[in-house]
Amino acid sequence: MSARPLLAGLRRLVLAAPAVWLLLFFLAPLALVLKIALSTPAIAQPPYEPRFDIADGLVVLWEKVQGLSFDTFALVISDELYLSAYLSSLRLAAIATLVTLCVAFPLAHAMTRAPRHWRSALILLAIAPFWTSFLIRIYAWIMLLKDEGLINKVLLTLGFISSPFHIFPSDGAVLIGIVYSYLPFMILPLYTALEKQDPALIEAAGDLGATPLSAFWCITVPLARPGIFAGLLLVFIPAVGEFVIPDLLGGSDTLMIGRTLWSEFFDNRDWPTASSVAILLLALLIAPIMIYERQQMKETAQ
Amino acid sequence: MGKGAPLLRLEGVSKCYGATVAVDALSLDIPHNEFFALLGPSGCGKTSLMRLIAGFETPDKGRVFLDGLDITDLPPHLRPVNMMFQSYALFPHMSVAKNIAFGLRQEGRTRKEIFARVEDMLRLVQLPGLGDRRPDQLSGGQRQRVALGRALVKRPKLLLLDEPLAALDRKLRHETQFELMQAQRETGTSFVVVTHDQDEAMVMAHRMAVMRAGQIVQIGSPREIYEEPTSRHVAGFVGETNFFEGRVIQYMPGGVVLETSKGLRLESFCRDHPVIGTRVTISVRPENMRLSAPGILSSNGGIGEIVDHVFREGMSSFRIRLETGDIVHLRQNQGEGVLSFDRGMRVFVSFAPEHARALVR
Repeated sequence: MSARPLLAGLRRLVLAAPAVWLLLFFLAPLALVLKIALSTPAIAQPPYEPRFDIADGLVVLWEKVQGLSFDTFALVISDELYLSAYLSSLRLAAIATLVTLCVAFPLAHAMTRAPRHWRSALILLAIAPFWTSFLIRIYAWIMLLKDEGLINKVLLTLGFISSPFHIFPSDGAVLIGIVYSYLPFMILPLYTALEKQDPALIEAAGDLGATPLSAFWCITVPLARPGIFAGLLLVFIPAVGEFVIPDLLGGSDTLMIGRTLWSEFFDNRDWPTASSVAILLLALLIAPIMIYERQQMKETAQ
Repeated sequence: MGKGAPLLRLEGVSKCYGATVAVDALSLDIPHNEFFALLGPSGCGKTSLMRLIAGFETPDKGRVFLDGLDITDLPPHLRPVNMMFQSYALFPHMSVAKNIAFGLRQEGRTRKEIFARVEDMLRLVQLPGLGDRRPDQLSGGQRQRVALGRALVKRPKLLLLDEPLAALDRKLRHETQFELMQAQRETGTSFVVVTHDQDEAMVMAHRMAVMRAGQIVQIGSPREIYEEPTSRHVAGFVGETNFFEGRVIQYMPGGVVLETSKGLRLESFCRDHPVIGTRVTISVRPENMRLSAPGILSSNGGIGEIVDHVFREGMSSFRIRLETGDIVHLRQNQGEGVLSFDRGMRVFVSFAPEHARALVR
């Protein structure tokens, strides 16, 4: 008799755990960032005002809350620099995401067609780069891409080019860096979606008169849609806010919001502006997630 | 080739997978408007043979002709042959109507024609009004009919069916057999059914081939194959039978007399002419065995004891252990005087020589 309420209590506790986790490690930090965004910069340690203190009475606290303002948001929205940084981040991330999709799809497809006993080894290979530090791998790309780098040297020696092509540092190098770094995040969901497909479906399409290409477009791609969406989001969202890759591989004219945020925070010591840039970026990225969720809902409803 | 030429002709077709010979120098003709069954246990090469005809595999040796045209090197999407897959392979993201329309869309038919032909096909496979459903909203039997409609709507010259009834339950399988036969008659398309189930082949096919180890061991009407098996393998695979092994000791008109190792003397019809002393196997179908009280008849059989008596579908089935230790199956219609026999009784089991077949192979 007494076991049942105990079990129910236990179940509630287990269900509450993720909620507590979200509250502690996602919502609370987000609230702190939001509070800093609403503050004003100050020459102090930390460099913003006001600072809440438990020792303050309620009256003082209320005064301080009234001192918060949306000024930094207004500044970020009205300043062309931020707007173009946002737009160029979105553009670069979007291009990089599409390129990643085009590279990852044939790879994932080939992996599902490989003999069964090879597949886990191939997955391991796809995620093998994670064993090395991300930073080191991006530095390695500098060695490959710079004017006197390995790729230029080989092409020069073989006589394909007469003078080194100049790609590092530039937006192109950033693109390569993003595609390279996020490729596994695209391959894995695509592989999962493609692996579930019954190979007999493609045979059936061919049997009914579809050329291999139209079987691919009419059967393989539509059935892989959940994997494609997941991969696009997994690459696009972190790529928009990417800081390390544009910082190391980008030119002086490479404008990405992550870099702007960094310089507001560390170079200008303007924490409130940096925080509002971050909050706006978050708001911007929630949109594609919502679209994805709606897509998923529609898919399951059908 | 002119009229009267076979619809499908296979000439010495071989296919190996590594060291395994799936299809071994096989030749076969299938005429127009025939319901043909390829029967064999799993691994006998019947599925490989079908995939060769559909074009999913190319033969290592030999040629495939359809209506006199060499199609050996044509890819599947250019062959006027369609296939119904064992898993049905319906496109899960398309409605029933879109599934059926898929093949016509690939042909570039007009919207109007596609609509009309899909409607006709939905009626033929008895799914009118279900065109908007998705495959996962259908029952197993309905999915099977969508797969049939999708393959038939293109009006193929030849329809291949891979274990078409395997996924259905027993009762539905029985009804669907007759629906398939009707669809074959109405369309005039030749059907080639691959199955491991001899009942299916016996019921549906005009002609059937029994396959073993990549080769056809016997080909003929179901009745011929049941009544005149040419080998022990075919006799055992198609229908139930009783085997008696022994050596030929004497000839008789149209047949042989043999003696089993346990000392039974049995007479049997025989198509071959084995020399005295050859090991042969006699096959007698259970319905051709006779029961009598011991002592009345005493030739071409043996004395034994009834160990089981089962009544099923209007028939009495007996299992009898002979004194020699052999187990004999016997089946009789009710009302043929078998009601007086029951478990534990001593009986004489015999058969007429003309109902038995002595097989050398």
